[in-house]
Amino acid sequence: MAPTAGKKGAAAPRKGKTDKPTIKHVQLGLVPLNGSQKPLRQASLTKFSVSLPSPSSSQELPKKSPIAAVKVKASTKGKERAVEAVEDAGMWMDRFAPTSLEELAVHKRKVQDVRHWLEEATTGGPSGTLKTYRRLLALSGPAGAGKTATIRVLAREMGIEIMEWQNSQDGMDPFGDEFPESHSHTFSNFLSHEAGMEEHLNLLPLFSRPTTSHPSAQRVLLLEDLPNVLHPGTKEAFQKSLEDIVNRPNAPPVVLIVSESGARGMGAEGWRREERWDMRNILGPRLLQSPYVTEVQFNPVAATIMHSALSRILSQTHPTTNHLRPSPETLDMIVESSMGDVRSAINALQFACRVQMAEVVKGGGSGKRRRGKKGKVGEVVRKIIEGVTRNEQVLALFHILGKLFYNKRFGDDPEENEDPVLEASIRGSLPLPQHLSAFERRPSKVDVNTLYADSPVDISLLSAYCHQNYPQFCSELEELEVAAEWISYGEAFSMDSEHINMQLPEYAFHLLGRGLLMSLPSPVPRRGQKLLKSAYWEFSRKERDGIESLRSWSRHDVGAARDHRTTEMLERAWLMGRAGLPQPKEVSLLAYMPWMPPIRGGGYGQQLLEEGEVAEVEPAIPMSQNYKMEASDDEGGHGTVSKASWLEDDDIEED
Amino acid sequence: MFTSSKGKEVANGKATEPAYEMPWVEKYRPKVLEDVVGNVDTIDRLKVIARDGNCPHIIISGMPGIGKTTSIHCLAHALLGDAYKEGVLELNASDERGIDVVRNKIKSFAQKKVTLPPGRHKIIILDEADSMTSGAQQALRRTMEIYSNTTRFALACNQSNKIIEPIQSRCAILRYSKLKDQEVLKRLLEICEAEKVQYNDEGLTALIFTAEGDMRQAINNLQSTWSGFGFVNGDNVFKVCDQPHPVLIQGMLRNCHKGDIQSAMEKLDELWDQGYSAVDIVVTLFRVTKTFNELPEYTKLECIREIGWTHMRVLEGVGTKMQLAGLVARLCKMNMKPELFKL
Repeated sequence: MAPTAGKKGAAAPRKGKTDKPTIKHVQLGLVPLNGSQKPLRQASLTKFSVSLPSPSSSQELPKKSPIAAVKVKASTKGKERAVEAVEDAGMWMDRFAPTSLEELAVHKRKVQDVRHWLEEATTGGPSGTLKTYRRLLALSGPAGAGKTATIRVLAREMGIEIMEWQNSQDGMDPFGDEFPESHSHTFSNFLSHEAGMEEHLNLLPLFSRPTTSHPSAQRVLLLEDLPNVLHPGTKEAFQKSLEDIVNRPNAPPVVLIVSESGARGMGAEGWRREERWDMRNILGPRLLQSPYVTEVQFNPVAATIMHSALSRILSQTHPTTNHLRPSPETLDMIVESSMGDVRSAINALQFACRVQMAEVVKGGGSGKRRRGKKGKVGEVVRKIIEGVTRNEQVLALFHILGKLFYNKRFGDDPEENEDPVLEASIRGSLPLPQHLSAFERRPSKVDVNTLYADSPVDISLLSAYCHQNYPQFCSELEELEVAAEWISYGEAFSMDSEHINMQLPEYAFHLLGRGLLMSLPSPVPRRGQKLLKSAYWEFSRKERDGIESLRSWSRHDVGAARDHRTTEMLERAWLMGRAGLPQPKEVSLLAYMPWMPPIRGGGYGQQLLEEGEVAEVEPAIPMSQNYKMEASDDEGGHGTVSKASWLEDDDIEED
Repeated sequence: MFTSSKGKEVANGKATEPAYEMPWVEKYRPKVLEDVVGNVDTIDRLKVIARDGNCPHIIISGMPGIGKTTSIHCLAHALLGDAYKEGVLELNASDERGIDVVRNKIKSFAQKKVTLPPGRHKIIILDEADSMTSGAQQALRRTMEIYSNTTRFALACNQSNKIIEPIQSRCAILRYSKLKDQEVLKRLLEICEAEKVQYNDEGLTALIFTAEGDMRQAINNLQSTWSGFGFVNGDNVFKVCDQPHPVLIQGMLRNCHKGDIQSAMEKLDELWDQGYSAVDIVVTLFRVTKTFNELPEYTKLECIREIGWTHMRVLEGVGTKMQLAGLVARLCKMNMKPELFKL
């Protein structure tokens, strides 16, 4: 069965669903299974939970894959029946977890990549030799991109068992966590790592031993609940044991799943390299470059795919279109604000449905709010979504940026009817002294205090976005200079300051906000400016890549015993170039890292589009309408981005 | 930092002084969601959850003293009722919350069998979750997923971006904004009425100014002022809070704006002689400046920058009068004719 399992699984219609009741969960050796039940305490300190089809089921239905999915899935199934009785129990992200390839909200190509790897890892591919090299699959990507779901669904279809690593229940962790870094502990620390590793390795024979009931079943080791690899010692031990597993040809292949943070250019990120929770840091350069390791990077879920996934769920919860079913606009809004996080989107959908229901029940008769205008309903829903999805930061961020960059002031538009009371309250300021009259401004409509009070946005994030985008909104070089000056003042206060004082970020916000308002022209000319994602993360990632590979080159080719500083390595590489020797190609990674797009060739603008975070800001219109989620390949958008960035008066042409 | 630690110190004070009157923050802590002040929209959503059950994992983020923990407690009570005791596990920042606690204590609670009505789940409350190390948060991630059919998590934190993305992705995030002055005022008036506190408007304004949207601090200060002086007016409030009087600071800023360094320095001397530290003075200076509408936009911006620099220096350890005098001098110079400084 094994060699054909993949194909058959793919071809097999979605029978899995109906078969489910026949499949039992079997406990294998050291397996505590269900979440609700007391786990067995194992001397081994490690637990792998495995669910297997009962022998009978696998005989009866040889090509229906044994369900490899673990307890989450298991419990969900049981739940699904209960759900019929108790409406709405359980979370939708569990209830509607994808069960087949069609339901998987992941790009087909990624699924294919993973499928090929799994095929090759279990059967060795067409030539049968690839098995040796498909030892570790590293799935990385932002949270909610469908990494785990892909593996589970594929494994089920292909008849592969998943054995999942779980961190131990017992106080002692195989990898040892957070030992106090004192000398007295270092040794015991070391020992426990060693011991843990041994334990870990000792488990392997268990897995490679063929079980009598399923001689043909393929196994994959799933590592998702990682030990605390932020601890350097633990990380080392972890990498070491991974290497050991990888180098053992008869051990099962390993799938490692890492939800990378900061992949969207959002959220807290440790600035220090060793604190990053990403694949590079967790695996380490040696494993990453090993021929046994394949990395597949998942991207945020594209809007269209997300849309159909949500629609699928809705068609199950609200089979008929009625007033309880969220409107298409609501759906759009959820998709847009989720930023490619399908889990968060499903959460938001569930929440929206419930709140909407509540609204209907509550305001059934009054109808004032709901039936009046469509826009009104949208407004209510928008508020809900804004408050529920994790990406409120995004919406708020663009809101703040819009407020700042459009620099609205009283008297911008003589036609407009201003609120005289509000204006008077701001106008009441003392006059500026004569020599400062150049800084006289009409009263601003932006209240920085309120903006700060309502802002959930991290100041360093805001500052990065301001820095990326301010040039488009300036008309004169002088304005650029002043704006840059204020941004840098703001930055001086935002650097890592929370450890010192909670108040310093507030200074940063005021300096950034008020400084921008002061330096931008008023009114700001509208030129179709588009807000771009800060390029900082992209470049810092590239820089890390460059340095990392340069370092490995330096170790490898030059045979340097210790890590050199980047400058030294670059110098050496440069000298080699001068001497006519071939330069390592890594140098080019570092050699050209513009912070702005090249004047010719729009490679950079493209990148931003691919990231899918281009937004046009017009504060008067609700953000969601303008907020473009998906990278479109339409040429127009492409052109405008490179145009709207630097040097817009220069004739920029796309290659 | 100041506001939160101060607020909490007083709040925790009850443990050491059981003989005294109960702190009003505890006495008047809302018991049901209806009573929680402010953030109407967000709390409406919590009410829906409280009524229907099936609480999602939630993260509530916001500044200190705006009712995050209170509303989680209210929600848990509403959901679980009598089962609250066995159905809720609460872990504070002060409790140990390393990785092993996440893996053991939280897990074993999640596995505990508690009979609850359908649609109700056990709740694990993690207060100040942003203080958890990211290692511990990573460890929490799987636990959340595995036990989500029996246990739901409610996290309170000051900044939701300190929570790692995989957890954010699993939660509904509710953000509480700062309480509006009117909202704080309303609550203060209710308490004043219930406790028969004598006050004047100036006193309440002062309470609101010093609290900066932190309800806990406002109520604590109200109680301290009342029990200390027997009357809540502006001066008493500032004495209790031990903060420089903003009126004095406003005067100083006006002097600076006129370039009148003599008078400005006199005011600084006065403050210094009253015994205020450099931090006290500079913090109040900032608070006053940012809301002081008499200053033109440009002056305000420059002032904030100068105050910020001085604040940083003070925090770095040079909390001397010299720094403050330098600040005052710079603020004055800014408004004086540049020709005056030419030799």
